[in-house]
Amino acid sequence: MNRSDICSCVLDVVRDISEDSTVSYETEIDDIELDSIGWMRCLVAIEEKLGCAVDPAVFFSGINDSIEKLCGSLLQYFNITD
Amino acid sequence: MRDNIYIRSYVSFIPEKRISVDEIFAQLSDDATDGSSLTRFKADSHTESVAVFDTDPELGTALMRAAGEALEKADTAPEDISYIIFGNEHIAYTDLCSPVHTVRSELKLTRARILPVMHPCAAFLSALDLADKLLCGEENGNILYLSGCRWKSFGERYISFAMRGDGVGAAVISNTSGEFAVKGTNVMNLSNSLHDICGNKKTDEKISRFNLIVKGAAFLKESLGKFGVSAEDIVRIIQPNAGFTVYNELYPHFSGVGKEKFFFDNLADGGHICDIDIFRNLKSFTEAGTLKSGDRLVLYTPDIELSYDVNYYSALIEKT
Repeated sequence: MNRSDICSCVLDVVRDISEDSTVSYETEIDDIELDSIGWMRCLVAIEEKLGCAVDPAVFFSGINDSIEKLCGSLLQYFNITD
Repeated sequence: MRDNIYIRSYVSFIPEKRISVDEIFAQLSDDATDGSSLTRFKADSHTESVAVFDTDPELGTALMRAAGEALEKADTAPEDISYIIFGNEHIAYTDLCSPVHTVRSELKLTRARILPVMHPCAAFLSALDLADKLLCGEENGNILYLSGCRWKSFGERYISFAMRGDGVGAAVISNTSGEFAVKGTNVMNLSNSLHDICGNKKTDEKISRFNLIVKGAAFLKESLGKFGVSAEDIVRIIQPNAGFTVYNELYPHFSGVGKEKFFFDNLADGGHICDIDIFRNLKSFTEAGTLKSGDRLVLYTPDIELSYDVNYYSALIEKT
């Protein structure tokens, strides 16, 4: 699992569940039309695609104010630095 | 495992009047809807309309009818009711009277003590859990369980993953015989509030919301283990009408219990009606006529406080 796997997985899942193909790395979380159930679905889908559990405290952290920041938190969580 | 508590009868009534989810959503502010859109809410909840009592007397009259019918179906004499358990403040008092007290006096349940269990969405399962302790030593011990709700504002109806409707329910729980034997119960109280006792923020709302589902799934899994059954051993899980996505995707993912085990037939019409959902769904499922003696079901419901603290209850019941 590398940076690209995680970032593309997050982007694909959020685009799919929000049904918004314009979501990009720069998109702010608050601008994505997803409620709490929607974000939980994203977490579940990401876990299933990556085949491993993600700490919800990392996923739902308030510092993740954009898709880019969310990807960054997950990369740090999985200890992927390259 | 207990073998002496039974669900002897159970009835539910929901009013004929409906309000559409579209109409309720139109009355709610964006803040109240957690950023969700009507389209997304309907996709996640599968709810189209909720049942509505216009007045408190409608609620009270329906409760009286449900209680009378539950007693009649159970063939239980009024003097054989030892307790009236109820779980919702809506039937504790209205502007006019206390419906629970009125049922007690009108139906001449003279020996019955009124016992409130303020876990509205799970009070029936709480009553099943308490029944063997309360009825211990009684030769013909019976509990009349009552539930009823009437939400008076649009804001009260929307609870993020579900839309609340109005209705009433009644059941007789007995230590003699009944349609279902209660083979086991499980309870877990989860401290999950956003703030501590001094009002300091201690967790993020998204984490608390996530916790209540993940811990519920874990509780459900734990319950099956405690009951000594696997998901394959049970015919169905009867859960509240509180969201399609929650029980079709999230619970299966976190509990490992297949989505085909959950009950979804009453999601579209009526709304989430406290624990009346359990009676209503159990009735719908049994009316299909496929249940055989010995078939086992799990009743499951989380009772979620406004603070996000949760009271989880489950029961394993077996068709007699």
